[in-house]
Amino acid sequence: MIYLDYSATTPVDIRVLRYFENVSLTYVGNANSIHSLGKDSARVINNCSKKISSILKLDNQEIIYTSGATESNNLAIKGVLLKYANQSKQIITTYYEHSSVVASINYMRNLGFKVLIVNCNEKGVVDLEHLKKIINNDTVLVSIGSVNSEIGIRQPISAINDIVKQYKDCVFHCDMTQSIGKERIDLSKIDLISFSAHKFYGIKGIGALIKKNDLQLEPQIHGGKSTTIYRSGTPSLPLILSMGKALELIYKNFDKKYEHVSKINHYLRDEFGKMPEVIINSSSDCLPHILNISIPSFYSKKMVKELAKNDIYISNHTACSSDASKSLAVYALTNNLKLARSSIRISLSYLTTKKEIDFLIKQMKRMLKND
Amino acid sequence: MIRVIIISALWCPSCLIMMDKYDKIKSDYSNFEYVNYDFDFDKNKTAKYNPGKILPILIIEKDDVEILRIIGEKSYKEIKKQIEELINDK
Repeated sequence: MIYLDYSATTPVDIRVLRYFENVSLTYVGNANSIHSLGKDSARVINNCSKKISSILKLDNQEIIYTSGATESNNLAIKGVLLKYANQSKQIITTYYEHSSVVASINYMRNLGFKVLIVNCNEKGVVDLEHLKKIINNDTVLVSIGSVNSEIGIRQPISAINDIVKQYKDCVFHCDMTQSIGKERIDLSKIDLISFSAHKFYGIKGIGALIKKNDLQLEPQIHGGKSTTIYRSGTPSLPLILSMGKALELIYKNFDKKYEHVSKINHYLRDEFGKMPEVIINSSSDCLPHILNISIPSFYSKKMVKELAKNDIYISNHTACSSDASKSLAVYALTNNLKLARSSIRISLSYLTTKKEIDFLIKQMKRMLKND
Repeated sequence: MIRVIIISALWCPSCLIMMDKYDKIKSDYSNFEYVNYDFDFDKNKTAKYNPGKILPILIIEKDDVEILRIIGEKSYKEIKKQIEELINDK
């Protein structure tokens, strides 16, 4: 099998899975219980939070454990707007956000909030001057992801945060699902950060919303106090600890892993450059883990299915969109329906080998020749 | 009797963009009847319109017969122009 769909999800690291099994059997108490087994569980969760804070270099930030980035995005957007709704009523976002961000914002729009879309340049990068122009004292939330999942467009998060922070009642939420474990990024100044463990070789079903300590949210899951007042439910100790383990592992030899992915990305770009049918949609500024291309003569769905017959797995667009007809992100970037309908995403890992890429290219060339 | 049917989805960025424009249309033509359907949740009600896969969709019906369909992102001006042409035709 040649797996090149790492941006959709990653295979779990066997060490993470073994750790999950081990802690599941060792810490049986409910972390909310007051007896010694419960206290043991609470202590190891607390230690895990300290470890995650240290790995991610957090500063005065709380980790709210969730079922994944979709829940984190919902909690961040609805939680801020419902909490601070009386202060102002305007949200700013981009066209390139994950469906869980778009859906949460659209849901809040239906409740009466105003939504503004900030302009992006020809590479899909936020136009900071336009952001300065549309943000005002009525803006309560700016939600912009660090990396677009379909194309790999990187946003200038620090510069965006600087603009947002000029408005004291405005909160910056950043969906970093495609960044955590893939690039070094300063998280310490950002109000709200979402991510999922399964994007960095963790187990599916666990993620987090990192929140500045002085920020409040309206909970979306109500119940008793758990590890946080913002998300009720028995803390999933094995999943939480396994996420800590996955983070610890992914940031080991991180620079080498990043360099490897960059080299594979360059190699793939060079190979595609030799194929006249291929148009590369991801600019060289994009995250190297994602390479989006279009082959106008070939519908993306067909390409994905044909490659799967040869045990090669890629995506045509984000796994979280119900619109099967085209890539919304590629359409927004290129304004070209043909490119949007024929775009495919190849997502890379430090595990990806040159041999795998050679096989992919060989199969694609064969398919194009036979078409 | 003019009825405007709007089919959209929460996850769809084009729908998010178009909603403000539709609101303007609603206020411009307040004498029309408006029905909003969710692409995912109202499939049984939207099936008869054959919505396809591109969203959002604005359908105008006169006496229960479809007379105009506008699919995807369009400018407010463009939608307005098409509706005006339709009205002036009658």
